[in-house]
Amino acid sequence: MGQIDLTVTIAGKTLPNPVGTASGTFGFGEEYSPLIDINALGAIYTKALTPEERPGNTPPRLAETTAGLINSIGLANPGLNKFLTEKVPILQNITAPIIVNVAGATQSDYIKVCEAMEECAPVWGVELNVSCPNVDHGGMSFGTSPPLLARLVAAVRKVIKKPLIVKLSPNVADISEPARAAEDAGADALSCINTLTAMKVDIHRRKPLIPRGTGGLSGPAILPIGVAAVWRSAKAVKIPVIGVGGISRPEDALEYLLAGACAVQTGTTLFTHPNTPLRVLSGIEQYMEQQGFQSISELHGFF
Amino acid sequence: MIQNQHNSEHPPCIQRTGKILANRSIARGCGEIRIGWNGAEIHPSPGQFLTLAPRRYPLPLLRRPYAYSSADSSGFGFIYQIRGPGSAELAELRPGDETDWLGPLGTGFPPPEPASRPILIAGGTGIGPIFYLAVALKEHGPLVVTGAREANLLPRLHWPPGVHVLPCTEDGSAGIAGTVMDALKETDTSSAEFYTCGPAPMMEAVHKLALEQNRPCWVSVEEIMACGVGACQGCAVSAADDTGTTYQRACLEGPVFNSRKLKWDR
Ligand SMILES: Cc1cc2nc3c(=O)[nH]c(=O)nc-3n(C[C@H](O)[C@H](O)[C@H](O)COP(=O)(O)OP(=O)(O)OC[C@H]3O[C@@H](n4cnc5c(N)ncnc54)[C@H](O)[C@@H]3O)c2cc1C
Ligand SMILES: Cc1cc2nc3c(=O)[nH]c(=O)nc-3n(C[C@H](O)[C@H](O)[C@H](O)COP(=O)(O)O)c2cc1C
Ligand code: FES
Repeated sequence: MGQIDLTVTIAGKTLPNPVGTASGTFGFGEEYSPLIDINALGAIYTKALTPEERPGNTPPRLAETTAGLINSIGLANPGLNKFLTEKVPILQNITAPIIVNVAGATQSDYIKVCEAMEECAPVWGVELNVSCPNVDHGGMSFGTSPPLLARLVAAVRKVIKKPLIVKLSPNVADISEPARAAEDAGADALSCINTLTAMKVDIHRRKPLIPRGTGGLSGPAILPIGVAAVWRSAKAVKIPVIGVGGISRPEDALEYLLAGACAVQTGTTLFTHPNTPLRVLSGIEQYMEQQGFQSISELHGFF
Repeated sequence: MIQNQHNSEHPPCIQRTGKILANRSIARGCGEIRIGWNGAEIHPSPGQFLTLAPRRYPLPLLRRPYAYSSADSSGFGFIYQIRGPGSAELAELRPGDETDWLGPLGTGFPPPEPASRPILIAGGTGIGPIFYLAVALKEHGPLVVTGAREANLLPRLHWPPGVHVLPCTEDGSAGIAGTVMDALKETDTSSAEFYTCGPAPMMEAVHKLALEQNRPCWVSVEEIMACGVGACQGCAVSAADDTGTTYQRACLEGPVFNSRKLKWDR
């Protein structure tokens, strides 16, 4: 039997395998190194990076729901300068591809960070976060308006040759519109989905649990929403689509791959089971072996 | 025994499966679990914690954090209060059952300054880390003030010789009648080094007393956590600083903080 090819190609560059860790759930890579072999990952998507340091939102920032988690982190991150001086030396020692999640309030914020990432050797590519629901100017206005998104992606494209992934928001009526807008403006790939706007109410204090009111829902509860978003996006565009949202088991990742994704990210579940991405990877491999698939693209097109 | 991690690197954490050695009730709605190392002995410091994976993932979804109440060559323990789905699972555990733990996590209590008298104040399940600390500090003759609403909520524990325990109940059904703060009023705290874990209003009162007395005070905070390893920024607590908008992670820089480094006027 032929060798299974697990590699994923985006804009001519390859990822060793299709399973990465979702932005914001894995820090800048090193936090989980005592617990899993981070170099066996297909990619590490970092916490969002903005030009300036951001302390993040007023706590409490987390609320657990039925099979889900609402977060309101508020893009807390060290900012570009500290990233370059403190995080890059650590990233240099990681062999797994590093994809930096870039966020901002304005177009020039995105451009500033992307310019720096183009020059930064350990960075494999960038993922534009145009879909954070947890800050007033967290890019979600870009992600939910196809014309604004197209302008942003086109502007960023001018400063970056490395793979440019655009992470879409599920908080839209039809995700195929921003998907097409991003593709037309020059994106190399899409990732779907970021978290869904959600609220949990503390019935004793008679207030939302999270001070901002709403946060973003992730975890197993959102899996079917993510799969639908990937299916719709993959039908709408020709560029690769990366599936993210609610993956806890290999079967969940296979749903995404069969719905049209070329790769996946695992997030919330790894908080509980840090080994999730590697367990998902070996499950995908096993399925492909048993079912006679030799590459990820052979999983596409069944429906 | 107590390492001062407030200015050093953390030992790495590990994730293992351990067998339950014992699970006993120590007060109403409150138990103590002991778990064997199963070949993975580590040396957690008092104030550090572990997280336990839910047995029926994804309901509940997240690991639950518990502070170590003991650790020796035979295994480690923690004290839990039954609150919701995660802790309800704990009450069901029997000797021989397996559990998925991850630890040691966080920064624990530092050793006391020379010539100071450790005064340890626990409320509710704050008793777990305070018990472990008292055992570690027994040569210093620590005073432990432990409070509960009524006698059958006060955990029954075997305190080692050298530890002085002052139980308090709000209804006067055991020990001193009143709160831990009432008991502290009757105590000479002029050379105290305060260590406290429990409800936030209690810790704030201890912090204020420490400020008045100009004595050091260490608090162990409880914040909802997702990763427990410093990756998600979910467990932020507000730090005391001029800008008023900086945060510390309860799971990494904490859960034990110098009380003067935290913002209390919430
Ligand atoms: C560093 C640390 C040490 C702790 N040590 C102890 C201990 O020694 N003994 C003890 O009984 N409890 C301890 N706790 C609290 C314990 O983690 C919670 O009681 C437990 O998570 C509740 O889970 P549940 O499913 O039973 O209840 P839920 O219904 O989920 O929650 C009940 C309460 O616990 C809080 N809570 C829920 N999940 C978490 C979480 N992941 N982290 C923190 N709080 C949460 C909720 O906000 C709520 O107020 C500690 C918490 C932290 C952060
Ligand atoms: C605590 C937390 C922080 C997150 N931070 C970011 C972020 O900075 N940038 C981003 O694009 N997505 C962020 N996300 C969204 C995740 O990357 C992912 O899209 C989402 O959680 C769905 O996947 P999951 O269900 O596997 O977690 C965050 C999610 C969580 C739970
Ligand atoms: S719980 Fe994730 S950073 Fe503390």
